[in-house]
Parts: sequence; C-alpha cells; structure tokens
Amino acid sequence: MIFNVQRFSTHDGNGIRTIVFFKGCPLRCPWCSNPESQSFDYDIFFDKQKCIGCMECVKVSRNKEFIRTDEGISINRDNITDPLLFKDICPAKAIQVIGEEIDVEKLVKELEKERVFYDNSGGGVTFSGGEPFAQPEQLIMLAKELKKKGISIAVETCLDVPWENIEVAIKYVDEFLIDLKHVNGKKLNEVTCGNFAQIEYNLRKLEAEKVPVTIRIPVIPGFNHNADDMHAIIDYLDSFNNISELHLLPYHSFGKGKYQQLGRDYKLRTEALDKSELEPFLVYANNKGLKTVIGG
Amino acid sequence: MKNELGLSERVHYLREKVLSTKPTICVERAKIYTEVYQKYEAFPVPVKRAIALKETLERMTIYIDRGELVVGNLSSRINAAPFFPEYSVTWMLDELDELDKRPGDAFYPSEEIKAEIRAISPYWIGKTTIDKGYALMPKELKEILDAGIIKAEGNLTSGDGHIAVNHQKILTVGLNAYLDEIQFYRSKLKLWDWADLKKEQFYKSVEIGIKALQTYIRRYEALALELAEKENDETRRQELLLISKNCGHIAEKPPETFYQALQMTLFLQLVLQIESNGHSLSFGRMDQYLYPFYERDLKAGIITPEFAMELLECTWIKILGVKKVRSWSHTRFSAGGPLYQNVTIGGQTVDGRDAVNELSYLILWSVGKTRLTQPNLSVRFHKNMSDHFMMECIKVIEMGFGMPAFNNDEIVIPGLIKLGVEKEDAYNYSAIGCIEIAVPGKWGYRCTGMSFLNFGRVLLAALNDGLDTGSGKTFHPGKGKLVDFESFDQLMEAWKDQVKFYAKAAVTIDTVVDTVLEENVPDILCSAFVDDCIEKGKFIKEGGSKYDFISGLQVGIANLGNSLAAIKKLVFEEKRISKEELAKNLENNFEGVEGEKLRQVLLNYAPKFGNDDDYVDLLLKEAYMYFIEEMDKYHTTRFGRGPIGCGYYAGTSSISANVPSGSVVGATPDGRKAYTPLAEGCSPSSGTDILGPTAVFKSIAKLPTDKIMGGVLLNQKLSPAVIKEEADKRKLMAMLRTFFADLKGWHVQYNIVSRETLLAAKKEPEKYRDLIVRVAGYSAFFTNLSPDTQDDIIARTEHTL
Repeated sequence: MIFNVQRFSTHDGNGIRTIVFFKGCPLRCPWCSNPESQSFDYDIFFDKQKCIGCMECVKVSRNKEFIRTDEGISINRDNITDPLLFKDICPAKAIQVIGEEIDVEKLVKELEKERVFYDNSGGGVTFSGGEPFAQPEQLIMLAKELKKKGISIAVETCLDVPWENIEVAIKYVDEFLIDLKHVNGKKLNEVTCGNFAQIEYNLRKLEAEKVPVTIRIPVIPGFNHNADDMHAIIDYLDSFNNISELHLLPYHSFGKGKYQQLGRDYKLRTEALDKSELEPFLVYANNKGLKTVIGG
Repeated sequence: MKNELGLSERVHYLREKVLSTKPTICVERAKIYTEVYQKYEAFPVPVKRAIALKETLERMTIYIDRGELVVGNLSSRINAAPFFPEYSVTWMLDELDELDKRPGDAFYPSEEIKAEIRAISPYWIGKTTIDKGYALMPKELKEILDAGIIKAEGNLTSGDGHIAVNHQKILTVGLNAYLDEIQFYRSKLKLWDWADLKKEQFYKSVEIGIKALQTYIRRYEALALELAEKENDETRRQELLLISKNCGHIAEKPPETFYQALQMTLFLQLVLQIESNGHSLSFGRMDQYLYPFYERDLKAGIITPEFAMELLECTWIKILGVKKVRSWSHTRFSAGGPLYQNVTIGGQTVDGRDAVNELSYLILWSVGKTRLTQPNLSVRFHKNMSDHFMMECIKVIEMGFGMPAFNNDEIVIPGLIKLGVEKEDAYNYSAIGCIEIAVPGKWGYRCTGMSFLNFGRVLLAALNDGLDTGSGKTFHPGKGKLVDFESFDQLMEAWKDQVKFYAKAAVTIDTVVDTVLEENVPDILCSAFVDDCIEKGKFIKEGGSKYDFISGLQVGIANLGNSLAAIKKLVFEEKRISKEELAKNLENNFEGVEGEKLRQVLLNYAPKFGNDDDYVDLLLKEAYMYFIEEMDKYHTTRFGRGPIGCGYYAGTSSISANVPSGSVVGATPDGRKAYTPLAEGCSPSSGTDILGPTAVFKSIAKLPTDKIMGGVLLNQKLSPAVIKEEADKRKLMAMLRTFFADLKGWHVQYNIVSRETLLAAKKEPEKYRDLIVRVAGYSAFFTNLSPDTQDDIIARTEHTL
C-alpha cells in the first residue's frame, strides 16, 4: 500500500525525482513528518477547517462515524470499521482516506510522466515511506518495471526490516538513503520502537555487499541533539567503509498539522532547529573524513 | 534608504531619486501639439504631426541631473507622464481629481497642471482617436465592447507601441544617412500620381522628424557644454564635456564608441515615446547590436567592464523615469504602471551559434544590480546555451524581482520560419514588451496587444443559448442551454460556434482601431526606423514594415479547460452533478451550503489544467484550437499592401487583465466564484496546480504552442528556499532545460518571493517600497499594485519542496 506520489522532489536522491511513499513503518518516531505513513492500514485525515458542514459524511455513516455536534461535524475514530466507506464522499476533501493499493501498471505510467526530467537531471524515482522494505513484494514488482524502462531507483529506509527483504531488492536499487536515528539501541527503542540490532545487522550486511550508502540523521532536540549522542553516532559511522555521504537533517515540525488531522497529539516542540545549530557536528564529521552536508 | 546594492554613489543617488519621486503629469507636449494642430489644421495629418513633434523636441524642457552619464528626458521631470490629448481626453477630464486617490498606480498632478489639462482638452473633444474609433465602430461591436466581453480601450486611447526599431541600422549608418536615403527615394516620386503624392507626405514628414531628433540631441550637446562651463568639480566637468562631445557626434554621424551607441539608443527610446504613448517599446537584442562597440572599445583600452556596467545602470534608471498615465479601467489591465521596455539578450547568431557575449553578462548583472522594474529583461534560451550563463541568470532570478524571463529559441525560431519569416530574420527575433516576439526593426506594431477576448464570458454564452449573462444581450444565437445538451459533444459544438463568432468580432474591432490609428496618428520617427518604410514610402500602419503579424489576447485559458473538464467528467460521465443543478448554481453563484457543496465537488473531483492530466489538457487544447483555426481566416488592415504576413495568431500574454476580466464574469463550471480573477496568462488557475512545477510544464507543453506566437505566458512562483543552494539551482537549471529543449515550452518567468514577505508588504507598504514582483510578463513594484491584484499574486501557488 502507498499513500502518496510526489513529483518534483529535489532533496531525496540525485536530480529531480518522484517519490513513492509506501504506507506502514516498523518505527514510530514521534517527530515523523508523515504520521499517516506509520500504519499499514488505511488512515483517515479529517481537516475540520475545510469542512463546509454539508452533512454528506453524516449521511454515509452507519455507526455514527461522523456526527453533527454544536461545534460542527465530529469524527468518532473508534467507530470506523470500514474507512473506504468514506473515500471521495466529502466534497471539500475535509475527509480523505489515506492509503491506496498499488496498481503497478497505473503507477508506472504515472511515474514515467516525469521521465524527461529524470533524464536531464540524473534523477529518477525514490521509494520512501513509511518503510518501503516492509513491503518487499510490491517493491520488487514496481522496481522491476521501472528498471525495464531504465528509470533509476533510490530507496529511503530505516533498515529495521529482515535482511531478506533488502537482499532481494539490492540489484534494483541505485541509491540507498538510510535514515539513522540513533546508535544507542536502548534510546532508539524507547522513543521509536526501533530495533537497533536489526538495523546494525543490515548496515554491516550492506557494507559487506559493498553497497554505497548515504546516511541521513534527523537531528532531534531532546533525543540526539547533543554532543554526546551525535559524536557517538558519527564515531560509529566512521567505522564503515561504504558511506558515500552523510546528511544532517535539522528538526522541523512541518508535520504537526497532519497529527491533528489524524486525531493524534504532536508531542514535540514546534520550534525548528536552525542549520547553524548543526554546524559543530558538520565540522566533527568532516574532520573524520565523512563527506557531510546539512540538509538533503 | 541605504545603499545596500553596492551601487556607485552616483547610481545610488539617481536610483533613489527615481524611486522616491511621486509620479505626476507633464503638459508640455500636449500644449505644443494642441497649438500646432490648431495652427496647421489644413495640413496633411503626417506633416502636421511631424511639425508637432519637431516643435516639441525644440521647445520642451530638457535637463541633465546631478551625476548623470547618459542623458535625455521624456518630459519636464522624471516620473512625469506626458499627456497625449490626440488619443483621448474625456477619461482624463473625468478622472483628473481621482488620479491621486487610486488604490494603485496613482499620479499626483498639481492644481496648476490640472488647470492646464482642463484648458487644453476642449479643443480635442470629438477629435480624438477614441472618439473617431467609436464613430467608426459598427453598433453591435460597440455593444460588445460596452458589455466587456472584448476590451480594446487601451488601443484607442493611446498609440500602438509593441515594437522594436532597427537599432542595428541606426547605429551603423548614423542619422545623416537617413536624410540621404529619404532624399534618394523622394527624388524618384512622380507627383502626378495619387500614390506618390501620398508618399511625398510621408517623406516630407520623416525628414522633418529626423531633423527634429537631431535638434533634440544637439540641445543636450549645448546643455552639457553650458553645465560644464559652470562646473567646479573637474571630474564632473570632464564628464559633461564628454557628454556634450558624444551628443554632437551622434546627432549626425554613426556612433564610434560604446558610450555613444548607448546614448543614441537611449535618445531613440525617449523620443519614440514622446512621439507616441504606445507602450512596450522595446530595445531588441541589445547585447548583439552594442557588442561590436564594446569589443572595439575594450581592445582600444577606452572602456572598462565596470564603466560599461555603470553606463547601463544609469540607462535603466533613466527608462524607469518614463511614465505613462492610463485611464483607471485600462490601468487595471496593466497593474503596476509598466512601460514594458524590453531588453533581450542571449539566443543564437544567424548561423546558429550561441550569441551570448561579455555584454550579455554585463546587461544581466547591471539589471540585477539596479533591481528595478525596467527594463523588462528577457533571455533567449537555446539548447546550446552554456550552463555558466544559465547559472548567472538563475542567480539574478533568485534575487526575486522576476527577471530575467526566458523565451525559447527552440520553439520560436521554427514557429517564425513556418509563418514565412526568412531564416536570418527568424534567428534575430527579440522579445517585445512582455514575452511576445517579433523581428526587431522589421515587424509592425503589436505582435501581440490587440483586443482582449474574455473566454469566461464566451463560455457562459455557450452554456446559455448565446445569451451574454453579463449584459443580458444575445449577440449571437446559441445552440441551446446547458440543460438542453444531450452530450458533451453538443456542448463543445456550442462553444465552437460562440468562440468563432467572438473571434470575428475581435478582428472587426481591431480593424476599426487600426483604421483610426492609421488615418489619424501615424508615427513619423518610428516608421523611419523600421524596414522597409523608407523604401516603400509608407508608414508602418500603411504596410511599410517587412513583416506584420498581430495577435489579440485570450483571457481565462485555464478556466476554459477546467470548466469543460468538470462538465464532461462530473455531469456527462459520472453524473455526480446534474445539468439542472449546475445551471442553477452558475446562475446563483453557488448559493448556500448546497451551492458550496457543488462548488467543492467541481473544484476537487474534476481534473485541473497544470497537473499533467491529459483529460483536461487535451480538452483545453481542442477548445482553444477552434479559436486558433478560426483566426487563420482573418487578416489585418495591411493585407495586400506590402508586408509578409498580415495575419493573426493566438496570444496569452494578457498582463494583469485576469483580475478585471474576472470581475465581469459570473460563476464558472470550474468552481470559480463570480467576479473573482480568472487564471492569469497560460498559467494554471491559482492553487489548482498541486503536483508542482514539472507537471505544470508538461501541461503547458501540450498546448499548440507553435500556434500561440503571441506568447504562452507562464508564471511560476517558487519559495526562496527552493533555489537557495547551489545544488538546487542546478536542479532548477535541469528543469528549465527540460522544459525548453525537450518539451518545447514557450516562456517561463519566476516570482521568488515568499508568501510571508508579500503579506508583510501588503500590511506595511512603506517598508517594502522597492519590493518587486512578477505580475504577468512584466515586473512591478508590489506596493504600487491595487489590493485586488496584490491578493491575486499572493494567491498564485508557491511551489515548495
């Protein structure tokens, strides 16, 4: 299942790219800017500001999924058993069902539309998510078709998946972008549910397979934005010989609105990190000989 | 204001002065023209106008400001728009006391000036081009104009403009040579012959005109000398002496240095705008015709790149001081008071090589450094343009004042050749005004800029059995109402039928306009400087130019496509909306919750132009093609009188017309509410292009761009962050190369200003006095725009990452 196809993406791999966002992720990072990417099932966005109060959703409801209250339309998420019931029924798109089964043929056709831009910029398609390797069969099917058309593929992954899922895909992937949040397994697991042992295993496997990778670290206040943690991460990366680039991504809270639309709380601060706050780590990593940039 | 741009002290001073001087009106020209017209009432029109021009150039106030390196002036002071009474006076009289109260583009004439205008005007009432135009206009066409379906006011209340003269020739042969050439052809006339007697009036007036221009230049020679004699500062004294010497030289002979050539170019620019108030008077390929002078001077060691830059900067400031006062209704079509004085750089040489030279860079950088709304800088893209030059262009684009815009050789040159333009002329095209194109010095007026046709109104008439809902009149019986159509094809037939009718109406109106301008206000000097007027003994308007193609402007392109797609998909295919429901809601402007619900469905569940969706893109193409094919049938008033062409093509360079044009269109089936702006140029409707700039490029490229030679205007807005880093700029470059070389896009320009900045500027205009935005084919000071145009610009999608 995917949840979005985004054209003209310029910061997730080489050149001009189209990103296919896979739905479902083993991690639950509280800073995730696409919270709708986490569940492997359909989600429902409800944007109250767009609601025009036309009652269409209330009429469709069977189990009081949407009800009318004094403050306008209200959603009872617990009552929703069949999200697809609400697909495309809201005129104003205040209700959006997030998630779509992959139709390879249709999707490839869509991705091919940007072909000339890929060719002229050295770009291609990026699988992101969610976690693309969590759906290896769909990923391979799609990748095979794109490869037949000669379209370059990048994958953005957290690596917290069984090695086999990655192994079968390696030959199709031209660029690995690895989002590494932390190297302290305990901290990682506490905050994101991630399993560092699995991630580390896959990292070493990729190294052994001599697959060059780009590592991207989201720098998050209160999680890894401190000298100890960042130095530990960079020191750890320094022990690899297949890292072509390191990207330090300053924390931002652009995804905050989406949490609201999913009926969830956003627990982190609103204020973004300034690029300058990452400078010391840039210097630290560069000194280690890692080719590092701030931003993607 | 601080000198943040790193300009020289002189340039900073001059820039500040032009930015801080309140626009006013100058009546000197109007007074002289009135006197001459009264005194020489019986004279043939061209001769009368030549004498009026001569007397003006001899008697008008001239000045040289502190530190000026290039000299010349349009009117008695900077930012004073001359009043041109022979074109129109009634609107001026009606609006005189309102000029300083306008929400945008205000003028501040003193009471004294107002009194003079009131004194001059009575003579002109009933004699102006607009009076004559309405007198000649068939009744039904006048009603269509009054209904606001077609707009041509600006074409009757001012001169033509939209032209570039043959700078190359002027700079090569010098002014005296023109007198010789006139004499040569004049001596061959057989005055017993009717046609030759007419030509005699042409030659007589052109000779007066050239001599008048020489006198004007000589006056600056004298003034500079006089000032030099009084000057205590030795450096400045030397500058003034050089200015004087330069003027003395170019008054008769061809320029010998870059400095002289540039000075001559500026004089021409000013005098042609004294002669006529037609805007979009353009410089053509400045980096090409000035380069030999620059190259020679550089080799001879008499110029440095720095000094050349300073001269160019001074020139840009001078031409920003040129102002034009338009009626309020016309102003709304040209928001921000633009003169659209275009400078074109780059492109290819006649033999297909990259034409970019050192001067192209200097022009680009100097425009970037002065950061003003004039000149309107266009770069001709071609596939062999170097990355280096493109990168420099992108760096100027990043400054956020909307320049340069790109035109595309890869589509324009083959398009011109297909029209019958000779290869070497096609390779020499330049942008005129905004984005439209012509061969400089060889093409007649208005390669675009004829009447505006409001596609929104035409579509609504097609859905209402021909009834124009705005005026309540049926100008052309329809093929039924929306509820009567049994298939989408029937609806498309109805559109085709209506648009064909209005195409003919637009041409008829153009014919009236052109006839009146030809008979009453021939441009003397402008004709002298356009091939082959002197040889033929004809003014441009009589068919004197080598080429002559024109176009009108079609407004509401994206709305047309989106409306058709919404009806086809939601009404006829999915039947999600009934015909009755839609018809009712178009009439009542989506009233109430039910109306809003229907509107949201139209907005959200039908494909929108600009998202690379064939469904709507090809539908728009089909609908537009009916208009384009119809225009092939018509010709202009110059047909059969000499020029190659004399036909029409389509054009979408509709400047800021989308806002006032939208204000007279009821609700449309794309979900647009009544009286809100239409989509601008050929750009997607605001906020509907949700897949980003590449998808927009793909959609635009599906239109028959080689048939829209009047310009395929695309405005894109990027947030500044998108091109901040070097790597991002490279990606933008790749995107542009793809758009032009592969997709054969026609034009694109960028607004790189954040939404926040625009909102802040709207709130506190005084802090953002020199904030410039791209309106549509031209840039304007944001704070000069009226609030509705400001809102429209803010609403246009900002593509982020």
